Amino acid sequence: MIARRSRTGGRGIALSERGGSIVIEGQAPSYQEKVEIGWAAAKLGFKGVVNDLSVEGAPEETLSPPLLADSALEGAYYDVVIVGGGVIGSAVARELTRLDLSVALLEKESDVAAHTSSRNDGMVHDGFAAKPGSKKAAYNVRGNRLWEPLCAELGVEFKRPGSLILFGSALSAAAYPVMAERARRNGVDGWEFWSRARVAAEEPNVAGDQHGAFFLPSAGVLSPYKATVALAESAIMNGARVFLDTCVLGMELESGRIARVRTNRGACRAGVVVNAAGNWSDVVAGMAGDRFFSLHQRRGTEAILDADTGRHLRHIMGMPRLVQIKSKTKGGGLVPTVEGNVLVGPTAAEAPGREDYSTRAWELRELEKHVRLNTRLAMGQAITYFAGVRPCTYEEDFVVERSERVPNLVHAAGIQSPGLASAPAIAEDVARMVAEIASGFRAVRPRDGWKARRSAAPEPRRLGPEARNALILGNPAYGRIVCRCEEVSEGEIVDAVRSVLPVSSMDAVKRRTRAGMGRCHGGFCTPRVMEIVARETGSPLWAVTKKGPGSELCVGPTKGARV
Amino acid sequence: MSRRIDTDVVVLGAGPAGLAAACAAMEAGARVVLVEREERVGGILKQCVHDGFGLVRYRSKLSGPEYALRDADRFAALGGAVMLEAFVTKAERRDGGFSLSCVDKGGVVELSSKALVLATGCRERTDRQVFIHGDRPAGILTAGLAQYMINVQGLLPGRRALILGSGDIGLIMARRMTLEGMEVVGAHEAKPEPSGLSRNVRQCLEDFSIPLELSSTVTSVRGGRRVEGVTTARVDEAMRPIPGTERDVECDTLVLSVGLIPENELARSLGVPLDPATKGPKVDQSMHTLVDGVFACGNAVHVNDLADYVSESGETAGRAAAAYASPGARPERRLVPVEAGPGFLYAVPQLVDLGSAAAEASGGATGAGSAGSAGSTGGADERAAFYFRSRATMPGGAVVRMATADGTELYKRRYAVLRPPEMERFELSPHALSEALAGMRGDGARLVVGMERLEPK
Amino acid sequence: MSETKVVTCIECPRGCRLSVSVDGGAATVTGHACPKGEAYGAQEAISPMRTLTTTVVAEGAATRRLPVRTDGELPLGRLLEAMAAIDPVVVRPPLRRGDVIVRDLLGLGVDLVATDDLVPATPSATAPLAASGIAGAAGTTGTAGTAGAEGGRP
Repeated sequence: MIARRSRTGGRGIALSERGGSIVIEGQAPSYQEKVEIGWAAAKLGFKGVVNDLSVEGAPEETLSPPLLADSALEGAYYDVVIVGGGVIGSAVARELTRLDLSVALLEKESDVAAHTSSRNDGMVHDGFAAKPGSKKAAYNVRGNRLWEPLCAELGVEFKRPGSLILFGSALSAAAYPVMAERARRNGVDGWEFWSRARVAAEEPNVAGDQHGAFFLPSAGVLSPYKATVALAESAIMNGARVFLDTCVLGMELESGRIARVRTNRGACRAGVVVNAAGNWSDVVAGMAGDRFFSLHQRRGTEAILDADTGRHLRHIMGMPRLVQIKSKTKGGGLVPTVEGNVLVGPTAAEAPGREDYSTRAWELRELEKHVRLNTRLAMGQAITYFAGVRPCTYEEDFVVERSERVPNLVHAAGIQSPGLASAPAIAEDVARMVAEIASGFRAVRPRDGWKARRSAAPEPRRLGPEARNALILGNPAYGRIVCRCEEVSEGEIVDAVRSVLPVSSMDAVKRRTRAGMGRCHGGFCTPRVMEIVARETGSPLWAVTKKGPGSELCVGPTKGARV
Repeated sequence: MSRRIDTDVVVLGAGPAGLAAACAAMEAGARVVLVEREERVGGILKQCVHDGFGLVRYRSKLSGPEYALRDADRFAALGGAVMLEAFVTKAERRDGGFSLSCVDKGGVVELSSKALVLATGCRERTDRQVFIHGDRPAGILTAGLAQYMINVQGLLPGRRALILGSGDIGLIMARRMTLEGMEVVGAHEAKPEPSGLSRNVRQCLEDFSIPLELSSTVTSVRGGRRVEGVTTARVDEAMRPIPGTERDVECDTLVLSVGLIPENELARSLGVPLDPATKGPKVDQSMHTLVDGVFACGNAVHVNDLADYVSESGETAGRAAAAYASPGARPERRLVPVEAGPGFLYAVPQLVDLGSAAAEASGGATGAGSAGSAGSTGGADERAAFYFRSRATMPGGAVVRMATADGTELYKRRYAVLRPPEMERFELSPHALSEALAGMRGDGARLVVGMERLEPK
Repeated sequence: MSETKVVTCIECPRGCRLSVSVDGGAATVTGHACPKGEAYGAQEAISPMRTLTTTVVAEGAATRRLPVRTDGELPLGRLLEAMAAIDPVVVRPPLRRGDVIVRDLLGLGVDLVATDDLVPATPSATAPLAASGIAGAAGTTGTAGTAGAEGGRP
């Protein structure tokens, strides 16, 4: 038992050991300092860092349960309960349905991918930037290889533009051998040095001040929320249950194992629990008495440039400064999305707030430097911007392992970037760990008739005129355009509401269909989408929500109690 | 098999501009297809239940729907056909005319025409474009959306609202929301003066004791699922928030009335050059853009205050499009730029076509054939209308003068007062235009519009 | 006891700044440039009058609300009362713009009239080419040209 008291700036910080982890308690003068103390502790070789320093002016965050309360889950039993419906949880769910286990995915929001999984640039990293030897590096490279065939099965688009790390000077170009060695150590699928002339030829709009680039052909892009939805739907098609608006509030242990998972919709019994709870994964670990790690949050802001801009950029592109190579973030840059937009960013700022997506003016100014890399892009083309929050352990690596303390708990926690790229590989490993644990209390066999393929709902705007005409003749709703900025039809809204994972909030419909994501940002389509959602769900028109109960768009009809 | 329709003029948008254009084109003898993405014609006027429309055109104070019905009736009486809930997905120049792909509940329709009139109106600026930082709860909406919800859907967007922006739509909604039982806690305007008409400040804010805070803006929004409050701050002359002036205001609704942007996606896809000052296409006095055969009118060209002028520009565009589409030789376009001095926010048209002005002055389009039937192109009576906005308020008034580059004066008037929210209009006869420009040749030919500020007495 | 109000005249775009002093129910106006302005100033200072424009609930119609306005002016101070009186009104199609919806609103000699047509609710799939009019009345192509009217499902 190590106990040490040290004084920093007059405040006391107490260190202790608990279950192999280092525990830090006391007060830190600022969030930044709290994080730096955590980073320093991570170097000491403990199993994990539990940083419980309190910061002046930053109160402890608590999980606020959804407004929905019923007993949908009460008394149910599932072999596997997955906590968290992001890309990790959804990928794990699909992977687990290959076996004949009963699977329930619990998600506290009104849709999957409501948080980190929909707030990133969709880049499937090549794996170069991750620290050699880390879990991030290993999972990233494996995941990168798995995504393309997985997308083909799921019916979502995958593109592989490759990534250009531009050299800003001859000096930084000299780092190429070091970068090549790192790529080799990480097992990245290919790397090349491109001369200044080659970069200019392959990327015609690149700004003049480049001195060649490090090119990684394996970097890809996809739509992260569409991929997550597809994974969840595929899981459902193969027998998994997905419970939305369902927040895990606590766990009951018996004989050291998790017996029951308590939620706002009742308590269900669980054979195995998977912790894929994103920015709350340390809190969820704590519910099982296994909080051996803690998270700090790092916010990133991105700007979305309008749909016209994607054609100006052929590859993912960034120009990190030398110091970036050693930093905790990749530096960001420009990403051409599968939809034809360009994403600019992200920034990286240590900031408290597990779900604080507020954007700051200074962060937008930071994005300027990326846009300058391409002569045809400008911040004036931004139609919107958004923030995401990375869930980071102090070791700045993933936690993908069976719990040492709780025999039927598996962690897939602290999944910051490159979490999206890593997801299929993490899912394979987690599924294997779950199967091992489950084999301890039942026979586990492959599921009969497991369906790999999922067909995506039609997108009329992507069809040629004859195919589109035929589609509309079969269903006129595909011919009524309700979102004119993104050319989304009524049929697609109905498909989202009636899908195997039905949704009814405006944000969920927006994520599924892109309605409301264009220039006018919902100004034209919002009332029309509301009408369709209300009709399809039987909800009163005024009560259609933005993102679940409590976020109704209106408060009632005009004229008192009228319909 | 998808449907094909061949016609003379396609009018995109059946709001007041498009309806007027379609009527004028039909009256000039052209075959017209009117394409509208909504379920009914009338455009934005359907939701403008307030009155004040038609003072110039009908000498009446009509409400929006009444005003739109006039041209809708006229169109129906002409036997006009409109495609409703129809959406143009692509437009391109082809075979000396235009080919448009359109989608509606019956399938895909290929439209081909000789001329195109863009009457696509404008959209509202959103919170992202004015960089409001903070959470994204329910309860943030633009004034136009609030108007649609209240007036068309019969829904109350909230109980306690703060309005950002003192443009007319925001002012109108302040009154509308108050009448329907909401509490409007105030309107905030980043500029030092209101953006809307003084009439609206009086009848929408002062009438209901709703405070108007000038040089003030909203910097962030608070609330998880629903808006719980906003932070306002005073701003400096560059409209930047002044640190230390932040105040928290409790409300559950934030209504944004922060500007309108003409919709010109299709214009851009056709290569139609836009004027950065108006964000609409550059047009000549016939509302003809720089792409031959493409005409534009209404709010797509520049944001208007009066529906009457929207209709006027539609009539002009429709007539001109019909003349363009009629068989026979078209008069050669001789375009001369109109340069507006620094006192102007903008002036429309940005060009004058001497070719058609000469044709008008000589009493009918030269060689235009039968489309120029009686009462259509107007001949020598066709006046050229000019619209402009001053960049700043001129409380003492100003003298506005239009002249050729070499000094021949075409127009001069002393205005008692000029304000950016109040668009002004004047007109010239084609005679005046063609005579003054008769001697002009070469690159130097241009018209200059100047504004000389007068000091208040 | 006299009181002075400053009012911006709205009778024409000049927007003269009127100064109106009210003494025992009589108004004296200065700053006007025409008789309409003088009359407006006096009325505004003593008893401002306003048209009321709003909507009423519609049932069985293609739209949920029917826009309406008063065909004369009401005292500003009674607008909210008028709104409350209009709240319970429900209209059903068919109605034409100009039809009287409420006669003699609040007994003030002013009617509430429709400013739009009100048509019955229609089934959601409509023929692609329909005639014009906000009401969406029937009738098809005259001058639209060839192949348009056929094709598509009803």
